[in-house]
Amino acid sequence: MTLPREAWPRLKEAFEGARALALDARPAYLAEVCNGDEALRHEVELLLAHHDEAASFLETPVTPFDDSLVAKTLEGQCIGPYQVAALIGTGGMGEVYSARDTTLNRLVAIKVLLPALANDPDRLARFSREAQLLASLNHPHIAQIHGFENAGGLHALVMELVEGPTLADRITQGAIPVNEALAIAKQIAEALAAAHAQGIIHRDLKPANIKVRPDGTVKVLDFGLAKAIDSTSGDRVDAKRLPAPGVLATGAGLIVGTAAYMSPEQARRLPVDTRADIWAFGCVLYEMLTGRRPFTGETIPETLAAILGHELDWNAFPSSTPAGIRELLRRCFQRDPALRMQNIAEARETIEKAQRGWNRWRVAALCAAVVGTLAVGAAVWSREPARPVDRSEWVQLTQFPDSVIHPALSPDGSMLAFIRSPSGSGPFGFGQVFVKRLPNGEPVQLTNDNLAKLSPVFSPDGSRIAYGTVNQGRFEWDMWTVPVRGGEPQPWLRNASGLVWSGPGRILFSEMKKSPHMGIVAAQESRIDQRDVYLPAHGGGMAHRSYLSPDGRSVLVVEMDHDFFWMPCRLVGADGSPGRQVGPSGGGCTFATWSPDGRWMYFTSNAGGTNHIWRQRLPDGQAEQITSGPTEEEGIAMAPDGRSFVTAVAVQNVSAWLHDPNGERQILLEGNTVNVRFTADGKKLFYKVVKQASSSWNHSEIPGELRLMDLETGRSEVVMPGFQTLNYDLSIDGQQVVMEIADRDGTSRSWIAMVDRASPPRPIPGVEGKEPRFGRNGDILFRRTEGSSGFVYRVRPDGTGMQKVFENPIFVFDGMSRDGRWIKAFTVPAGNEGPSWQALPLDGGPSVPIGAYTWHWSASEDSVAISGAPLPAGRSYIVPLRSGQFLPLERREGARSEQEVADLPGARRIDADMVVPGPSPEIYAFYRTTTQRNLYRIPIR
Amino acid sequence: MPDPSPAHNVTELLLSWGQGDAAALDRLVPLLYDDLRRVARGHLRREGPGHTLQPTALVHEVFLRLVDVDRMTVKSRTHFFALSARLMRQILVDHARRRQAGKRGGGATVIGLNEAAGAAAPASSSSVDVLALDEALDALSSFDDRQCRVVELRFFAGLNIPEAADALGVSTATVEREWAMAKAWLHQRLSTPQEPPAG
Repeated sequence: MTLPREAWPRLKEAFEGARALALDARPAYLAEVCNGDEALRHEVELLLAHHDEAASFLETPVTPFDDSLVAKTLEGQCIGPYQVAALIGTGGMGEVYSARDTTLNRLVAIKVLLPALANDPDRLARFSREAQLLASLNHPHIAQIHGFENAGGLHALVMELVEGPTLADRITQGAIPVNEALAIAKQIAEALAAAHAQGIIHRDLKPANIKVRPDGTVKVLDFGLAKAIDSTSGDRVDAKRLPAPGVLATGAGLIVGTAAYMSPEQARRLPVDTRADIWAFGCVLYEMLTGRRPFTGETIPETLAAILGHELDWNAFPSSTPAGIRELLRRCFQRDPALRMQNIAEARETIEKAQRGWNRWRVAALCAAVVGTLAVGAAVWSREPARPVDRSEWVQLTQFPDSVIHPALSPDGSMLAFIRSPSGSGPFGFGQVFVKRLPNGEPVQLTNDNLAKLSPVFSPDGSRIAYGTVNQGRFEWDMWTVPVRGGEPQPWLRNASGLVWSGPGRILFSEMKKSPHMGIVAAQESRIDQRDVYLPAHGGGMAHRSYLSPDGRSVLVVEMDHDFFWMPCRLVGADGSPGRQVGPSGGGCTFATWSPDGRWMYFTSNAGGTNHIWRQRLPDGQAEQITSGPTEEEGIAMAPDGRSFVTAVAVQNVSAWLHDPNGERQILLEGNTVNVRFTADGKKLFYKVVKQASSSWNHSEIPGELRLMDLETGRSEVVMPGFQTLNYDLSIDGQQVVMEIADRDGTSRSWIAMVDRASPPRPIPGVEGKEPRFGRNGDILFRRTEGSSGFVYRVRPDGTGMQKVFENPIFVFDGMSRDGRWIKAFTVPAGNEGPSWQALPLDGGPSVPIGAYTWHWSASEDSVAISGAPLPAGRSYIVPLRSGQFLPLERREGARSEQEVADLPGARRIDADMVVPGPSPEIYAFYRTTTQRNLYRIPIR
Repeated sequence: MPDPSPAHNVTELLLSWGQGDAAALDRLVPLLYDDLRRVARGHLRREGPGHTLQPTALVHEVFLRLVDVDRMTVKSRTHFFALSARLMRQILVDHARRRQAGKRGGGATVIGLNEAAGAAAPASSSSVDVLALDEALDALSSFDDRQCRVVELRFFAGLNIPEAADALGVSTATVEREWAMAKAWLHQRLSTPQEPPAG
């Protein structure tokens, strides 16, 4: 607060006035109300920026105590050789302190026993004996008991000090992501297995007794102590004491929290064995996955009643919980110990199996984060799938190292046909037709020629496979057939593609009317009795595929518009009525099908940015997304029973490579490396490591760890540990990096960090937006999303002075020129019909189209790398720039041929996609992308 | 007065204070302070660690224990909550100071505030340093005492907007306005590095 106190009322008035106004109206209001008082205006702007930032700040009242409220005076005292440091918790047995073992000079935890226990000589003696026995238990996931100490009238158990929160602390913040919960559960199971092998039962396993160290290591605490402190000697529990064993009755009463994890036999006060731990293990795993206890009640009797009788809520699990884990829990929660899982080792095996499933998918928590992808210039559909399909239930049907696409099932569902397409992808295939008997038959190659192929389909009797071929040079589309059992492929119908059988001897297919105008026609197999079903209204439109509804009345059509963009699918009448668009709006629909009962339409659509499976119920349901995540799913072959479909799942890997005079090397051997940038001095390299690449072109949409590599030493360090960065930019002086980092709720905020880490990273208050970039004078420019597009704003690093830079909506804000005169953006230029890449001058003036290439400027902007059309895939050019020159091509529409780019002065060809120029022509980075597509069966719920 | 019940005592003191008896406040503060701590501890013992005690429940419990509700006036009730809120702040600050003093190597005590701030990863925004907040509130009260009171009632006593309006005897709209600005001001202050307090 730099203002004098007298200014407070004016500050208050201006703040309240501005707060009530829309963002756009504030500058004018502030100019008026501050009337030239710049200090006041700055202060108001600061407050407004922080006001937006502080929405939830202080909204949760303080929790009015922590452990310090019950801290005793033991801190600083010595118990034997142990110097007590700080109280770290209180439990049923007493208080737990951290302490230094002055003889061994190590940190330990000591449990100071409650007087009730310490003053009972019998119990104390037995406790001491138990403690010695428990000290023999030595396992990486069990907190070690070092011994028992008597000193100064105090009795204390000395144990390994384990850093980190307890699992109970973790769960208070909500359910734990499935993969993490499984990793924790596996370690708990290992600890229990080791103890059970030595005949030691935990008896009081619960989240509060489990610690998770920051590195993810789990330590189970208080093994067997419940028995040690129990007043009875055997496993049979004193019936007068509830709930025992495993629970200590304190003066304050019984601890409800513990009762919740008791097995039914414990609740009934029957003898317990290792199977009680298995029940408790189930409780802990359930609570991790769902965030709540399986059996609860307001009181202990209610809790016990729940344990003994209530049916569990089996719907509480996140949808991604593997089926094997649900089954595991069912076996843990058998009330009769004889029916329960007998050996905890089985739990560990089940978890390992489920984890392998997870690892194969590497989807983890990433799925949700990636769903909200970008659809440029189109409506954005980024909602969560309505009925997400659990990935662990996907069954892999093919195991090719490259791409397998266009699945088709035989009418009886026993055979699978597809196209193996080593290089091609997507809606058109370039490869060979294969067939495979399900589930485990060897794939058999049926064709061996150079024709591009698409859309195989089984004949109604299952004896033949028909498929389309494309002669791209002449733009001819023909149908061929090949016997399923092998034989010479035969040409069948000329000028026909996307064929399906619509009944005995009847077919539905696409026919080129007048190139490139393609429509859907129905005919008999001999092509007599042919009639038009649908013809795109626009003369350049092409309807590529059609799917007849089971009742024969409607046809789903997959079509392209005159610009060869895939459109949403269309539902037309089989009688030729024009129909309507169906499925998700926006994006392209490339495949479709029907459920066997005809009630649902299924689609492959990239309406959410990448290709996933959607469906929509007839007649008037909303489109819902049923697969999501970093993979893409294309093509749908519905199983005859309607309970599953087969689709091609694309998994993409991106590696970044560094080229320098010494040759080429991969920047990071494991993981997907994206968003590579050299620092201006060329000595360091920023890159982002993402768990899973998406085939979306925009890797800035995937959160990852930003790292900085020293090119000389080859050493990398994480720029901001713990942060998942989406997008970032470097300041011109190379000292700072500004990052887009998503909140837990998905809101993008901008953070600034010093490259040398001289000060901690800090957020720019009030900046909710994407794609932050350094502008002139230290300003930050960013894109504030408003609806499906957004606008570029300028803001000072302290959050003040926010103002809109352009009136044009900006779909993607790629960056600024080094001189600060231009921004590069995907936008709608004035007077133009569609969005395109443009360079927009900040000082007004006309924007300049920069073509549909991918541009990568060097940090010092003395060269630019160009890739993309008209260059062939896998080829780029680095073109030197004159000082002040921003675009190497003067012509507005850009290059028309590769030759034109190659002829630019100093142009240097690089055989790679997406090249990032470095400090000298010899040094650059580039990416290598591999995509695997295999067929999976996905169940339908 | 033979063996006065705490309720009687606190009620009398609140009423006297309300009538301008400054000495009543001096006797009231330790009574309330101790009871708030005692109730908090009792909750901790009963519920065990990890249980989240709402300050509003705490203050209301103390109110019902210590105050003869029938004899309360609107004004004395207002005083009670305002005072409790301030004492809750005091209790937490005292503990934070004691812990800080007791810790070798120092370091501010950060009382975990679940979702105190909505921002992402960094600890600095998902928890509040009670001592820094206390110091910022002192600064705020020098500009605007009412905003400081609103923060105490909302954050330290856990009152909602209508309750805070009731306790301060102002409209809910006023509380909303003051709360919004106080939050923005404190957020700005707490996210800007300050000179370390002397001593």
